[in-house]
This record gives sequence, structure tokens and C-alpha cells, in this order.
Amino acid sequence: MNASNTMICIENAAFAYGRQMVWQDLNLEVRKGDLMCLLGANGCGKTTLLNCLHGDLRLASGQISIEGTPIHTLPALDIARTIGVVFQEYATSFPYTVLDVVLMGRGPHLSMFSSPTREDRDIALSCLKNLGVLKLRDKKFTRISGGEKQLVLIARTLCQKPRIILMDEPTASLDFKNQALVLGMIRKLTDLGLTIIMTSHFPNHALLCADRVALMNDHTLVDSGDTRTIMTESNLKKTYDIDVRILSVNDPPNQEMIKFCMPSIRPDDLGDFSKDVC
Amino acid sequence: MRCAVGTCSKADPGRVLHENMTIRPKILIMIALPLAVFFVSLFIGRLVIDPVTLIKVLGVKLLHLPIEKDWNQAVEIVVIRIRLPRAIMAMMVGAGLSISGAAFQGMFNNPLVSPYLLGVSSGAGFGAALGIILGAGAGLIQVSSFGFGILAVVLTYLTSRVYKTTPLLMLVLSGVIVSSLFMSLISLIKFVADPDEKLPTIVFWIMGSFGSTRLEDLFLTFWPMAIGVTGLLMVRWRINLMSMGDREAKAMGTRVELLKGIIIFCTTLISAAAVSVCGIIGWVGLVIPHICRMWVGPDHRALLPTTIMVGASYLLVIDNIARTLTSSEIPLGILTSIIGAPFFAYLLRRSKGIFN
Repeated sequence: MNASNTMICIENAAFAYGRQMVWQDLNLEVRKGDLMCLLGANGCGKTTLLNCLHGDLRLASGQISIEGTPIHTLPALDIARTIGVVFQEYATSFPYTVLDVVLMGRGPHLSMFSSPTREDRDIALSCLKNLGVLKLRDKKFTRISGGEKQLVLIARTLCQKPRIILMDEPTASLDFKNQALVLGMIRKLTDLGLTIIMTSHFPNHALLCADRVALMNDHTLVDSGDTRTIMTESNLKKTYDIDVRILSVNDPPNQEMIKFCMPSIRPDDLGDFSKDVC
Repeated sequence: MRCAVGTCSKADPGRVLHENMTIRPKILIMIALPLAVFFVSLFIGRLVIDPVTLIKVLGVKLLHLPIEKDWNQAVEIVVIRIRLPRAIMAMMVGAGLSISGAAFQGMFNNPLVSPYLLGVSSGAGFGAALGIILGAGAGLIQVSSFGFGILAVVLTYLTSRVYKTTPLLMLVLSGVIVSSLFMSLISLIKFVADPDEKLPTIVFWIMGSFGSTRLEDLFLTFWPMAIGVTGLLMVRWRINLMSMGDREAKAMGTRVELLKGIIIFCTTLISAAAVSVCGIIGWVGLVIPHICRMWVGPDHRALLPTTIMVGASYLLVIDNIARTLTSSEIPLGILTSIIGAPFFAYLLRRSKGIFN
């Protein structure tokens, strides 16, 4: 593999909150233009890993390199110009307009004491346009739907002009259609040469759109690599500690086999209720 | 990513025109409101001065226009030495407290925050009480008040600092600690103060008044206010990012700790200067930002300048009422909330709790 193609390189990384180890022996490489999906159970440290990747948290040991430079040697401003983050929670008390929210993405390109110019505003508008949500520009961010919010936040991140985008569960709490819409939009972003790492709770989302997958469980990576080779029944069992069936069907319109997975949980396996439950 | 910049800016001219048409009347009101209140406050009071004489006096004294003097010397003294400094001071304090409140509410991402959150008012109150009980003169009391106001916030800031950061929750809690410490010290001073002379002085000082404002005081107060307000106006767009929370603000290229430091520094200069000249005036810094947010929206680029104009007008109106309503002056701290609370309740009911 061409070394200059590596955007993110994680070597022997370990992270701990105080004495409580979250994960260790973590090795992962993300290439330019990859859409990598990070899967794992609740609380296995996916979000923690993302927060290490944009320098918000520091590893206990090991190293993360961004385009070949160790992240702890990069100034925060350089990281913000390279890496955009779409967070899962949005917690402001103030009903900013959509355009104001997207403009915030210009942060890394403006000094502490300046405000966005007309040029920044044009960039924000074209980012909204690219994500198909230009019509929302004057709406209150707090009043738009979950799917629209996610697209607006992605637009804000694009406004940052990053080369890497990290997304923490971009499809969480979205309905069926909006999940597909957001995933499709994320897929389109990689066509522009962006490198994307997203976490998800849906293995099917990885099968649907990711080039590469990293599976986390038991405080480390179960496996990582190309989606087709990594997403196996045995790997998913190791990741989620339940039986998983992977099914392949022919999808005539696209002339290809598509794979999807189903958990197989039988009520009998879950033990008996005690008599006093009802 | 490649953005079709051209296609977007093409649609702009009409858009901008539309925006200007909704913004322009607001800007006119913002400029006209404080000016109108300012002129009215110069000719109302026990000595009624007609507007024509007022304009003549101002013309002679401020612009040195060659107008023949056909008014009583008392008019000149009342306007130039009493009403003018008092009106300017009220406007500065109103503007300063309001912009500080708006900046803090943005920074803490909490619309319930007031500029006194980090203990500046109790510190400054203590400084004044200390000065009064030690028999210091007016100037020294003001300096002591200003100094202890700053000291209180420095204590809060140092208490909240962990791992080279100042988490917002730590700041709030440290502010509570430092405030209550200085509050009890004020009580202690009141307890030992001479109940016939010093105790009432301390009580009235803290309740707040512009009654003793002299022309010379303006310059002392002007500089900390000017520095603070300018600083806040310069970082006003960054406050938008700050209100997304530390982590997001940082991910969008904001030096969060530096920004917090700048905001705290500026608001502390302003509010310590305010409390040191006119006591603890509550409510203004809490409510004016809300009213302005209902009017121009939450974007701090528009909000901060608006709070200056509205805050200045509000406190001047309140001060005019304070000095004209009854024969003896009503302390400001009482009036700001007696008038402000029902007004805010009315706005809150009318907007059904939905801001903007």
C-alpha cells in the first residue's frame, strides 16, 4: 500500500478514564477516500475513539497519526482544518437559524476576533445547497426534523473544508427513509475524496455503504478490513455476543448480490421469567 | 469539496435587499431609542427645563456655539453638572450590564445566567462596605469596590481551574462558593457597623443609585467599560460557537480556554466598574438579553450590539423614574425589578415561553 495514501494511522493505542481501561492494543489504518464504519456494542468506546481522533481526548499509550503527523504534535487549529466532526448530541439553548449554524463551520478559518465575511456566507450557502437543504436556510435549527438536522450538521462540517470527517452515529434516531438519505449523502461525500469514519449501531448500514469496517468488543478491535471480508457471522458474533445470520440476495436492478444481517434471538435462550412478573 | 459558489451568490442581491428591509427599521429604532430617552431625561425632573433652552445650553456648553445666554445659571448647573453625567452613567451601566449578561448567557449556554454569576457583585459590595466602615472617601470606596469585584472573580477562576481547563460547571459552582463567602463577609461588616450611621450607608449603597454621579466619575468608569465592551463585541461571533459546548467549539477551531478568559475578563471589568459606581443593580443583565433575543434572534453578532442600545435605554428610563416618581429618590436596585419583572412576565406570556 502506498504510505502517502494513509490518512489516519492508529498504533498500539490504549485509552483509559482514570484507572478504568476502555480499550487497548488498537491498531487501525484508514486510507484516503475510505468510508469506514465503526461497529460495536454500547459502551465499547466508539465515541471515545472518535474523540481521540480529533485530539479532544489523549491516549494513555500508543500513537495516532493524521497524514503521517502524530496528533499530539499538531496545533488544535490545524486539526480543526483537517478534521471535521459531526457530533451526536446537539445541545444549545438558543434557536439559531440553519444558516447561522452552518456558518459556525468557518470557525477554523477565521481569527478569534473576526466574524464571517460574505465569502464565508457563500461557502455556507453552497454547502447547504450541495446537501439539498438550501431551502432551510432561514428556518430555526431547533424546529427542523431529525434528518434535516443531520444534513445541516454535515453541511456545517463541509463548511470547515476538512479532509477527514468523523461522524458519531449519524443515523441515530432517524426514520427509515432519513437513514437511507443520510447514508447516501455520506457515501457521496467520499466521491469528493473525503475520508470518513462513522460509528453505527446498525451492521446493515456498514454492509450498505461502507468500504471498510472496524469491529470493537472486549476492549479492543475484533477485526478490521474490507467490508465484504470482515462482515462474517463469526466476527459479528464476537462483536455483539449474539448469533447473527448474514443473508445474501440477488438485487436485479443493480446486477449484484447484496448482503444483510439479522440477529437470531430465540426467546427460549433468554431464560424464564419468574412467576411474579405479572 | 468543490462548491458552486457562483450559483449561490447569483441569488444573493434580492435576498440581501429583503434582509436589509427587515433589518433597517430595527437599526433605526436602536439608534433613535437611546437618543430620545437621553434628551427626555435631561429636561425632566424637579426643575422643569423646556427643550429649546436645553438645546441652547447643550449647544453652548458642549459645542461652544455662540448663543446669547438667556437662562438661569441654575439651569446650566442642573443640566451639565447633574443630569448629563447621571444620564450618561446610567446608559453606560445599563449597556455594560446587558452586554455582559448576553455574553455570559451565550458562553454558559444558559439563558438564566446573569453577569454577577462569578461573584463580582458580592466582591464589589464587600469592597464598598469595607471602605465605608473604615471611613474612606467616595473615591476610595469606589476603588476598593472595583478591586474586590475583580478579586472575587479571580478567586472563582482559580478555584475552578482543573487540568489547565475551566469547565463551565466548575466555574458556576466556584462562583456560588465565592459569592456566598463575600456575602457573609458583607453581613459580618453590617453586623459590626454602627447602626445609626454606617449601617444605613452600606445598605443604601448596595441597593444602588446614580444620585452621587459627578462629571469626573464618568472618565474613571468609561475606560474599563470601553475596554470590556469592545472586547466582547470583537469576539461576539465566537460566542455563537461557544454556546455549542466546549467540545464542539474546539472541534470548529475555537481556542476555548482563551475565549473563556477573554469573556470573563471583559464582563468582569464591566460589571466591577458598574457595581463600584452604582451598587448592585440586578435584573438588567438577566432580562435585557432575553428581550433583545426575542427581537433580533439569538445570533450574538446582532444580539450584543442590540443589548447595548436597549440596555442603555432601559436603565436610563428606570433611573428617570427613580429620581422623579417621589420626592425622595427610590433605590435603583428596587425599581429595576419592580418595573422589569411585570414587563418581562408580560413578554414571556405573550411569546408563550418561545423565544424568538
